[in-house]
Amino acid sequence: MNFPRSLFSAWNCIFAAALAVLFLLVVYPMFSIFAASFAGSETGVFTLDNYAQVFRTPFYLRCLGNSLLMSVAATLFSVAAGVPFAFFLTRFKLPCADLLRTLGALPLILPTFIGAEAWLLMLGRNGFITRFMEGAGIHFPGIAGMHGMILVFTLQFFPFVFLTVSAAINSVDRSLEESARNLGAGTLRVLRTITFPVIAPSIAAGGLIVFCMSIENFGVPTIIGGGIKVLAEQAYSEFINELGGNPSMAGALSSVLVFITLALTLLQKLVIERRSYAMSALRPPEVIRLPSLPTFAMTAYCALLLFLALAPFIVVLAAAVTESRGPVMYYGSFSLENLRKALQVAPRPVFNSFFLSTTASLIGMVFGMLVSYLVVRRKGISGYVLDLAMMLPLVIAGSVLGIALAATYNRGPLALTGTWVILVLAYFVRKTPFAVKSASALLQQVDASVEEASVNLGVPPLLSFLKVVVPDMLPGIIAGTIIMWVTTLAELSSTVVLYYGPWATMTIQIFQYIGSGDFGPASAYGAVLIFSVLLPLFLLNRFLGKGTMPLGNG
Amino acid sequence: MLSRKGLAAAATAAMLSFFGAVLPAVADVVLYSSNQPELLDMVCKGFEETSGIKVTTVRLGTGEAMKRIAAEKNNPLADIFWSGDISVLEAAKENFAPYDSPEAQGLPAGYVDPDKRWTAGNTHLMILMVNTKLVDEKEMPRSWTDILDPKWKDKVVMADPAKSGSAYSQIYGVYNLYGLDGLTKLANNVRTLDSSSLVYKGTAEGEFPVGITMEYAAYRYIAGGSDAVKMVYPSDGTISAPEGVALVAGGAHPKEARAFFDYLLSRETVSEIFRRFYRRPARTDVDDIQGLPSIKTLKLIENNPAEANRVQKELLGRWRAMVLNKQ
Repeated sequence: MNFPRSLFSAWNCIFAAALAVLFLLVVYPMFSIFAASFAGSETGVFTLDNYAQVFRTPFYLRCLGNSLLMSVAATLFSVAAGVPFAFFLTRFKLPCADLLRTLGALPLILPTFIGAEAWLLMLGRNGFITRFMEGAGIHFPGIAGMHGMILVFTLQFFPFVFLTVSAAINSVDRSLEESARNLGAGTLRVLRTITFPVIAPSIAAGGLIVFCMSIENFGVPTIIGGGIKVLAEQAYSEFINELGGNPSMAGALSSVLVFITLALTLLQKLVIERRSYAMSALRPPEVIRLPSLPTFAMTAYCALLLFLALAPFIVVLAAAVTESRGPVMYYGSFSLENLRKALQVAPRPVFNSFFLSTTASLIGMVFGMLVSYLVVRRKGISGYVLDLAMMLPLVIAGSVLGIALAATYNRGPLALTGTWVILVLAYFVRKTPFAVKSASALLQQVDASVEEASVNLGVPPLLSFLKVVVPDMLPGIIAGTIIMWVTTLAELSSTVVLYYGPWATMTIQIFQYIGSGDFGPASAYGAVLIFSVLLPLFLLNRFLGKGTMPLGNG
Repeated sequence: MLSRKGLAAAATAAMLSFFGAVLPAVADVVLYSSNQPELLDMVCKGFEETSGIKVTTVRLGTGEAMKRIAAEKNNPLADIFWSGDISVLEAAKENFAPYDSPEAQGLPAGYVDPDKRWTAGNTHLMILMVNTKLVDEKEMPRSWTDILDPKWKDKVVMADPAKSGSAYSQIYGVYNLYGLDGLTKLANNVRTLDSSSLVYKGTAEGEFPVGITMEYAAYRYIAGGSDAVKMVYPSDGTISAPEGVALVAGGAHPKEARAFFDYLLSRETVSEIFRRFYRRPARTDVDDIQGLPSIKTLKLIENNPAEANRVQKELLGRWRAMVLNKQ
């Protein structure tokens, strides 16, 4: 790439600043956790004992096994559910396809532990569907346990697969399939030799997100695990545990988690992403119209999957307007009391959520814009390093990163622990990868010669960037910003270890109410959260046109 | 254009949320507590009404709170801690400031630290919470001895004693009754959950047949009208675990914190807490409430906090080994 000298130096500063930010917010804090994992719990001397203990104690091995089983199963099921969903909706003419596509992203906005709680209310031992089935003479042992966790993760995370895969399907140029067909290949052969290889990297990318999100999650296992323990939960509780806890063990448990996700991410980057076929579809593949029976079957599949995935929403909205006495819910009797309390009596968490996620998303927007430009346009090792560093926060469990940040910025000139700033920083660094992904996907399709021409004509490099590049990236930036905003509103794992004093968010409030068994107030905040997220999602669809969703990996 | 209108609306919302978040008044007293949100809400509002002093609460687990208070020693962010077993407070007492509250004068011995660094305003009775949909009336356990029977293996849940002060007082009580042998049997039978709230919640929802938990927590379900929950006061002794209040040493608002301390221990407050939240008062001048047995009719086991602490490390270590190596 031939950067004019002046452009090179301006972007060089930004490059250095971006790396410094990632170093200060991710690499350096995480170092304390790795260091702790290699320190003897009594002596502080270098040792591998903590890891030995993880891999020797039956209890931890069981946790590790449960974590892997749970995440692998959730990933496979998400792929199995999400790929047909994406394929049916992008390639075939189905009634209500727009609506189905829009609803398809919705499960992402509900914090997973609320989903878990809602499923418990439906299919727990005392759930209303369970009781109904018992009444009909069908015995159902209840949803709590491994199958419950897998169900919740699958239904809440399959949209990651759906979104990445549909973006990929849409980027297959029609001419490819047409040529294959003209050369005499049958439909199945075209699927196998043309379509599948093109979307395979996206399936892997979507699956990887599902895996990382599942293995780091501790809210769902706590609520619906029925006593089945997983690593993320243990790592988290070792950290907050005063009496029997030990930071070395906590460090080792967290590090094991990070090693697993890091290894898989590197594998994905090195082996799979290399085989991806970069192409910008001039003509997206044709939408096939099939006879009514298969059309009906496909629509039914998509609708059923969505119905299951959105069932927790119905439960939460219904519970929000249900009368409750303490922890006991009186379904069928209507009351606005819980909603009134959430909005009138204790509105602070609502404000906090909006303030923190808006601030973090705006910072993330600017940062993401600059970084995605560098990642796409800077060839060679430096762009690659930045790309890797930027994806690092995705690999680290939110609670682990939160604890690392809290411990690092606890004292000294940068004493941020206990302020709202640290929450914003954690959200920012955790969510910006989404913005980078969605902005760089678009940027890859824009020819660099345009901005070079602008610079050569004498417009300063940053001004050229603003005037020439930013307008092209704009849809991706807006989409990425809204995704950051939405997922920050639903964020629990880092908030729970970082929030202080008056800075409790809606998610914290919901988590605590669910913890104390008060589902009424919890759902009231849940309902507020759902509606506050629906508005930007609606705007997103307006801005970007029908069915275009971010998170595509390009 | 709709999108422009939408943008304007979004911008307005963002601005409103900004001002909403920045404007609220600076709090006078900062309270760390693991108690349920409504209870905290009630006492904070009540105190603000009587004194004009605002209270900000940080709700977090007891273990976590102790960790934070210790970590913030040089720059305390909290003024007062409320909730948590007195043995936990006893263990961390160097972080608390002595205070001899006028409201603590009539309290029975054992409810006030000899050094006055903590005071217990109420006590938790450790009971067996039974889900009647899963356990027959005649099958119900009646005592700790019943719970130690192998037939209850994996059917009983309790919180992790290494994380929850109340759970530690449960195993300490059982240890006092039946020694290490009893503790081994208990460890073999129970499934430990990560927080005490998961115990009563899961038992009420029918996920677990029996939970070892606090009276107030189980009774919330009965008072709310649940027909699936029964409480058993073990016949071989109901463990009583006082819950403490303590001033954080070096807190920024000592005067206000002391006023709040007195308010929390006052007869009106503890009566109200008993009536609405079913937490047993430490004071003896409070009337019984309907639905709960008078404390005089129960056989109580009262743990000695200093002694409980002395053996804590040893006991928790043994417990940990018992649970970790349980196959």
